[in-house]
Amino acid sequence: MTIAPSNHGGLNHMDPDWAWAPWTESAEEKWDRARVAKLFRRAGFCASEDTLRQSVADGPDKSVDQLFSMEGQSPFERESDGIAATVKATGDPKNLVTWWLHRIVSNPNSLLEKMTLFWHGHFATSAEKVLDVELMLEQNQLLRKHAIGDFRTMIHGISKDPAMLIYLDSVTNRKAHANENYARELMELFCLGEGNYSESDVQQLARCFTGWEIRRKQFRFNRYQHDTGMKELLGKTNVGSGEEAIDRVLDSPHLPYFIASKLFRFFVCDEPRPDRTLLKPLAERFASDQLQLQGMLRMLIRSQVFLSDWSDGRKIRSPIDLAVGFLTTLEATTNLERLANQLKEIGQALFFPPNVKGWDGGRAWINSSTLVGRANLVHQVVRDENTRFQSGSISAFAANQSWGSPEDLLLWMEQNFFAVAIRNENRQAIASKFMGKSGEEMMKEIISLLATFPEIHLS
Amino acid sequence: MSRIVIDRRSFAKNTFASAAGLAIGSALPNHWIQSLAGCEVASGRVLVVIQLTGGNDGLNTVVPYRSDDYRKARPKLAIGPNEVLKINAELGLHPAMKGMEKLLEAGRLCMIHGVGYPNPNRSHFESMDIWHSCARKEQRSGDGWIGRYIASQSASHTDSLGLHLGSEQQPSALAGRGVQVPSIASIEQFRWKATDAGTMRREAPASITSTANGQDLLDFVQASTEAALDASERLSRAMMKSDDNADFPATSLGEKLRVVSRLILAGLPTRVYYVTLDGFDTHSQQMPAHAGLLKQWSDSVGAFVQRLEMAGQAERVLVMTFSEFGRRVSENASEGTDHGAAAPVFFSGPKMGGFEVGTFPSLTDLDDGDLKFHTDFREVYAGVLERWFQVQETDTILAGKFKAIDLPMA
Amino acid sequence: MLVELKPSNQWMDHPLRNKIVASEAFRQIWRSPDVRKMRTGMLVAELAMGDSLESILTKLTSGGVTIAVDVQTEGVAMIAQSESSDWLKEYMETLVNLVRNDAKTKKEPDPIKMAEYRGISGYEFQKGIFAVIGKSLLVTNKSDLAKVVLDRFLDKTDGGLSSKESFRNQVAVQSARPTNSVAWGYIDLEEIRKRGLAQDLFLEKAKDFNAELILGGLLSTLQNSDSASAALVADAGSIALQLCAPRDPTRSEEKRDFFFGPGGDGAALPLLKVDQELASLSVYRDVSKLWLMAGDLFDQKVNDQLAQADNTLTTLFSGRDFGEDILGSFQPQLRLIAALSEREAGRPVPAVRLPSFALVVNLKDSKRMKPELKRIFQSLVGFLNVAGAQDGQPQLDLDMESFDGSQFVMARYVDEVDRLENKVIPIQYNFSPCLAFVGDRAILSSTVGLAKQIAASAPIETGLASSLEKKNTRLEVDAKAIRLSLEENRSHLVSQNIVEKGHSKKEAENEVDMLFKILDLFDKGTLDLAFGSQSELNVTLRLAE
Repeated sequence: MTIAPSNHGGLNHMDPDWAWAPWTESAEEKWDRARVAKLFRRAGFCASEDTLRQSVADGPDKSVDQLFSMEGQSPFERESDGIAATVKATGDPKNLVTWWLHRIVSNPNSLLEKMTLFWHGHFATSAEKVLDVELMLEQNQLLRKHAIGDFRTMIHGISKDPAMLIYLDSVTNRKAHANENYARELMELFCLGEGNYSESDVQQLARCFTGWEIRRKQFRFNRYQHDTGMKELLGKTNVGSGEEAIDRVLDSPHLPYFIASKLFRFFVCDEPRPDRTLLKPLAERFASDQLQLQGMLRMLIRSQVFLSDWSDGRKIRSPIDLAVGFLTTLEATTNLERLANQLKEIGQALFFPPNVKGWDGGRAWINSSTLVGRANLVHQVVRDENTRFQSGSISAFAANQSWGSPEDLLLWMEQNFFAVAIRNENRQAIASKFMGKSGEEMMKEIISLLATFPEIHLS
Repeated sequence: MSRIVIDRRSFAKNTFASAAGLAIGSALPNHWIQSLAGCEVASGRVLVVIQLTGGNDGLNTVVPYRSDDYRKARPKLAIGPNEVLKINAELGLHPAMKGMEKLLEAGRLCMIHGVGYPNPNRSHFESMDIWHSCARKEQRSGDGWIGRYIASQSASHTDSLGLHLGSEQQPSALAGRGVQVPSIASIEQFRWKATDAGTMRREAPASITSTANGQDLLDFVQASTEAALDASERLSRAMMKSDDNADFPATSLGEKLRVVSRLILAGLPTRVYYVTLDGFDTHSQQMPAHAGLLKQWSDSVGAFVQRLEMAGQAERVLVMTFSEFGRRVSENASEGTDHGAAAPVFFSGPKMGGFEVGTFPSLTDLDDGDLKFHTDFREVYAGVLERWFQVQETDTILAGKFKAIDLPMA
Repeated sequence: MLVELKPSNQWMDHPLRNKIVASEAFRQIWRSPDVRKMRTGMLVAELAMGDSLESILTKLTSGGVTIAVDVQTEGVAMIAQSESSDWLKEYMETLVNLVRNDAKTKKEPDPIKMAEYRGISGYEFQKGIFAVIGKSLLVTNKSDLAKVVLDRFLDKTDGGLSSKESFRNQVAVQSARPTNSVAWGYIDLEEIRKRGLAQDLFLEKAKDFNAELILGGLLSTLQNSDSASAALVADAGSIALQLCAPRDPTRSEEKRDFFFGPGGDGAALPLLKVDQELASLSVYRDVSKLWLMAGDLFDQKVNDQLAQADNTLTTLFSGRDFGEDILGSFQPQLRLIAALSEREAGRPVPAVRLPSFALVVNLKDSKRMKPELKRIFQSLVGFLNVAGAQDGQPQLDLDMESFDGSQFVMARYVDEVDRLENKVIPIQYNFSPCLAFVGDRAILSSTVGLAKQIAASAPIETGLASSLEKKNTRLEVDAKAIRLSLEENRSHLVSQNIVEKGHSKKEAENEVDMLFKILDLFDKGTLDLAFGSQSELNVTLRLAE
């Protein structure tokens, strides 16, 4: 953990070759606990003490490989399916949040859930408007299926996804008056970004989508409503069907940069934005992989810019990062329904994004009331009667981790959970306040106090 | 001003000193005190905005009880001269507005007649968005007039200048670039549950340079945490004070205004408080529902102003009540009214020089069955910004140039 | 307040206790880690005593136990009559030594203080005071109370409860009872009221509409009676709790007429019975009177809410006054029943299975009210359909049937035309709202099946009613049926447990199955309320074979 590490000249003077080369051990930077904790914090939702230790022993290559492996899924998937069945039976989309939280907390493959979360924010769709549990669930499964897979397939899938089209008021698209909603969002929000297409492109793309309908909650192609003329889209003529149009959009040179930029922000740092020069290697990798996500993701996660000390503390934890990271670090389980409500109060209601752009993230997570909410969330989880640490009490957990004194607890939390060092004054203040004390109550109080420190909000 | 500084110093010292075993220096960081002093605690002017959601029937709120046109248009809903609370020979208040009547008698109520905007929109969402953003759909930039006002103020921490009290979604009037107005459903949400949370806060020593890794974000979170702890501390002190035997009605608006009054009297630097009261969309059986709502509003505001008066603070708090549109002059077939256009805006609180601004809209010269407006709502906002908050330039805030109305406040 | 437990031999070896101890559920709890820890502590004590804990308890309470709460000193006292004074002395000495030795090993000071009062020696340990008087052991938390009790004992004076008239009356009532009780208690309500405790229960005007509706009579008792007593009776197959308080029927206030009936005559009809019933409730409540007398019964806030509700409901019922016309259209005898839903052939089976509910009332003027209620039912269904369509919910299809002199107006959810094979059937398909008329009876049910069952059951009960004991409220609950109902939804209970308690699937299943095992212990439960010269509440729990 560093307070003032070397700076490599700021983001936009960073050497792209250095940035994207795989991270290697050096005199200043070791493959140590802090680095491993960051790997899991950013690419997952933190990790338990054992996992961290194992990962330090495994080294960077093996650790990153582990993240991408899909082993050990079946018993977990069965459990998750059982819960999904109950949620569907209740017919209430709000219960979907609990189902997903259960996945995020228990899925051995946390990178998959994290990427699904990323795509959920990218292809923001709110159950508030869609109202149907099954449709929202189907969309979520679609995102998960391709989260680290084929971007092309994902875009084709989402363009016919009933929940998405309902949300964007695109359940009909008649050839007499083409519906531009989805066309615009596809280019502006999902693939290219503002400024990388023209108004006429929007109109032409809308024409390509004519006849695409949602009837009885299923996608249907209504050939009577399809405008069969040839369209010119993004400089290419003779574009016919909606599928061809999507492929044309995906061929745009802006696409790889757009996605690379978003992933960079999601994993590496909230601000400032990386420029094209820096993103080039990453974007080109994505393009040359035919828009397969895995290669690009591996490159990003294994890279210097991600793993080196440079990225420490450069992101603000989302509410889920904070809550689930906390649970995972302490190997805890809790009342997920209550947790879902608390997450909603501090600004992250899964399946109910605030608008079409998803969650802004970064500084937007922090304001007077969310700060209180975040600290109170940790405070409440620690004291909830349903919260168990390694299926037992916090004292039992403490004994396993050899927390002898308040300092031990503090150091352990700092190493396993915090991204930046806690200021000395606060460290000393806790040490002196709880000097010579022990007991379960004391541990809970220390943890509650830690949650009020500004340092806890950084990743 | 110095009185306040000493209070906070001694209070803060006591808190710090009382935390067991903490060895803290006796001098608090200088610029901390200064930033608080800069926040005009306990002496700044406050605006409380009450939004009546649904479209309040202005014609039955301020009643032209003598008018034959009125009675002809509303055979069932018209309020007669025997029921109305008379203001003068022509106008009266709805009989449920006893609280407002008292304020009027005390010279603390003023109504702005005929407020609206050109090309009235009769959709709830659209019209409310127009009132919030001062712009029509095509020109909107996502922020609202209060958000823009707060952004224009260079306070040390702009996120404490506005507060939305309520569990509904935050009104877009409060949205602003770089502005975070907290929305709280109850005071509880501001309460830090960890014991001694406040005792752990400290200003970041100047020794940590700002070029260090991630320091911008850490600084930002740190500053936000300080502000949040600050607000919370004030709140707990306010809640601790036991002088809360004021009689607020046990209604949702009454409760909200009670909380607002406590916050104001606690000296929070917040300048704009925003609360809403829903239910005014009275398309059928308007009489009982409207009466209930007007009673709730009137009694709550009455109690609120009275509370402030008792504490000698009524002159610095202005309450503005508005609705997204009025209702049609003629009643409909279900003993209710449909969406209309112009309606009155109410100001209460400080002593006013007069009780009305503008002329009562004509009941015969109508705009497609609706009352015609003569005062643009942005002129009302301009009045508040210029006369109340002493803002020089209102053009950016109001997305246009508007001449401030003459608010009769002293 | 006073509670008396009969001599231990009467309940220590009780068949009920034996049954519980032998049950699977108890054994599992006994083996659980938390209880194990407690048991190790007990084992140490047993060794020190040289006697099993069970045996000690039996000997200690062989003459019975009395527990009292004294408001004046704010103290609690317990007197246990043991086997013999010698045994008791020996027992106390062993105990004291145990504690003192334990403190010595922990290097702590002697936690027991000796004290003496008028020749009786006592001990003070932590917050309790212990004194031995002959073969009785006195334990209390306030020394003042200890002195008072000892005084009375030594001086053989009568003061205290036995001198109170209300107490003597209650004792008389208790001894007049045919059954033998295991425990008996007495509460001095007058004292409690005087001291302003539990004020919410004694309010002149109620704050809670539902509480007043359901328990109004009890609340009135609490307000007016000077005392109340409770007795716990246990026999081989059941345990029962009887509560009673004296009542002056002539003093009944008019505002509570909705509950007691004019002149205190209100009697509930016999319980409805259907197949696989979960619970059946029959009450006498004149809801119309309750609504109209709301001004006297409830405080300002509730009245405001009722006024608002009244507005909406009057509109809903097309201008008819809700309180007087609608609520006043049926007799005050109301009956509710819940039963397992039967599956209708050819209808989709929802993933979550809910029971059916029905409300049965007797119309005063059925000729006039029938068409009214039919119309209202139809508008309600129409409204549900329009609102539901906006939310993408299934639609209700209205239908009418009549046979055997009964008329049915029913609404069934339409099965979607091209429903996907694996699609989960939503929860709405549990319901098929139905309004039925049989003679003067009106039945409002959540399913058609239940309505038909009730309609078929003979309405010739008026004769029966007069032969039954007059009760104001009757309730019967069938534990077996409840268990069946829960078991139908086992997988959902497990899912709920996983997300709520953070358990793994295995742990969740264990917890849910444990619940079933506990339910297996019981057969039926009943509750009834009667108001004559006494306000009486009887609760009985029958055990499974």
